[in-house]
Amino acid sequence: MRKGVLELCILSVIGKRNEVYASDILHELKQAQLIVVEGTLYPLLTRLKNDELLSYRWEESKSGPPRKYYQLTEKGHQLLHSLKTGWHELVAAVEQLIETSKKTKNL
Amino acid sequence: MKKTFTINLSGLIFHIDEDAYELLQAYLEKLKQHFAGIEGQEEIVADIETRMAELLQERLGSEKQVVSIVDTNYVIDQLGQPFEMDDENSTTETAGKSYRRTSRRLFRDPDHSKIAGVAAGLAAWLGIDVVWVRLIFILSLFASGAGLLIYIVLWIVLPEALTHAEKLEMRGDPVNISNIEKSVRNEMNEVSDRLGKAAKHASDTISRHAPTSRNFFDRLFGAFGQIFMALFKVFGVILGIGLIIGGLSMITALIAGFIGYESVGWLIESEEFRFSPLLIGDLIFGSESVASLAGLSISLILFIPLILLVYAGLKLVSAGRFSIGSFTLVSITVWVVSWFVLLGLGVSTAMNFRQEAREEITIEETWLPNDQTLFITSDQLLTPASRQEAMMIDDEIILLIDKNTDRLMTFPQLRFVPSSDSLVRIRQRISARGRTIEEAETRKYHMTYDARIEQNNLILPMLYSFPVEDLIRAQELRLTIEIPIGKQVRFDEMLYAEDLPEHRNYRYFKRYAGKTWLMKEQGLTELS
Repeated sequence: MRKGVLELCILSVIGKRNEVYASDILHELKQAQLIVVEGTLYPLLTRLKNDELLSYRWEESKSGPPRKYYQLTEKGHQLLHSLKTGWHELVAAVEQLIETSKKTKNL
Repeated sequence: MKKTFTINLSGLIFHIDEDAYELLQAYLEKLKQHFAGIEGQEEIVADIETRMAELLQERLGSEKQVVSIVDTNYVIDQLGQPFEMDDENSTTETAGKSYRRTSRRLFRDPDHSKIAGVAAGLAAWLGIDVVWVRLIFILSLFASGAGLLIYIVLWIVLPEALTHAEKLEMRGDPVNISNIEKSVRNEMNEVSDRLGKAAKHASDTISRHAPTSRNFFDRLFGAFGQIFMALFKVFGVILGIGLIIGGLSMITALIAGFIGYESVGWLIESEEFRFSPLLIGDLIFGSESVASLAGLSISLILFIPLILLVYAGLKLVSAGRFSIGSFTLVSITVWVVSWFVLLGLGVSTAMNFRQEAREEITIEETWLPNDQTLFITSDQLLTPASRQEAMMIDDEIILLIDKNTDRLMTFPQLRFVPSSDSLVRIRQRISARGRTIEEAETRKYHMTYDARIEQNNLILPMLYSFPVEDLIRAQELRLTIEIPIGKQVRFDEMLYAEDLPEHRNYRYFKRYAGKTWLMKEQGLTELS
């Protein structure tokens, strides 16, 4: 069930802010309690990048190591859009199912 | 006080305690192994390292100087253990790869150890009861301690299974033929998939007709490159299997050879005492420890390349997933060191053979009446009951030892030639070698042999001897017996016995013993 959801979250975090670096994504995902360990993110980012959904550029940081700033590619935007649509449909469908089963119970 | 290291994580410098450093290094190593074979593995590990640097920086702030083990544990907790990081999609896409995580690795098992856990680890790896492994080790101690050497090498080379994950890995899928076959089949499927894709890619590229751009060639070469890589992998697996089989059979042959040598025989059947080749080594190298060292170096020089062949084969077959730490590096180092040791021993031993002392003297000269037959006999006959012990290689005597006098004995080289006058003459040529000419001379004088003529009897002792302390230093004794032409010679039939062991100078008598001969210009001829 979680499969694909994490990708959607990562893509939308990047899409929302236009350009972010890994620690920002980690921060948001952790706040939303979507990931437990930080290490999970990196293989995912690499795979999304290899699938040409993301691109990144390096930026020097004054306070720490150089940062990779991620951006969505055209393909990434498209996938995010279709994933979002799919997610909303799924949520709506599940919602409806739960609601109707409640009603039947109440009867 | 603690020792600290300086490390560079993504361009940031940190001071780190020794224990924390080891922990961090082990963690990074585990990450690398975990992501090995996944596309972009270096990038993933580099990204994680960058994050580590950030986390450490945040945690240390400005006042703390040194990264402690607590900080390191915090960072590892944040990032998580490798198995928690799995990218679900990529593992389901390439289901074939998941066996890597469950395939067994060879560790030392500290939980079930008697000494260092080598046997327990091996048993876990082989999936058999530890009793059998221990039994084999104990039995192999009697094969000149080969088991001990193997045990020590494994002790050094194998890592201890410390973490839970490693302990699980130690007991993962058994490494057996069917699993190797499975992994090979997975590999083949992957290869044929990739071949199909690459071929499609190539035809797509060509059909698109884009001859103007560099891109076209890039793609074309890319496609060929992929096909080439795929073929290369298939050959790799075949080569790997070849290496394993070849290496193992050569190791077996070599061990069989060693064991065969070990049972290098004895002169007398009733003799319980046995010589090992080491004793010959002792007598050449001068001391037991030096000889053992030479033996060890020779064994290592012979076995390490074969073991590395098998290891390379396993690595090829498993596509690099079977791997023992810095096995190759350690083996090659040991191998090179063995060569140096052997070379050093060789040179210093060769120095002991540098000078030669040689002497040729006539020890007897007698005139015998023409009508008398010269009778050749010996006062020292070899019998199966004699108390002497022999050192042999392949049924051939090298040396005999007289335990009572501590002297080494062997057969002189004999020659019967026509005399230039009417005298019977015994000429003796002795030689020995040493570091200095004095040493060689001393050895030469220590060699004793007592050939003599008494009336019409020529008495030839079977053996000449020299003290054990003189060691083997190319001692040699040649006897030339001159007999006037026309003289009859009879050899005692006791001079040769069938059931005694072989030596080329002893076998010499086989032709002559019990027969009468006539000395002619061309040498001895048998009288019928």
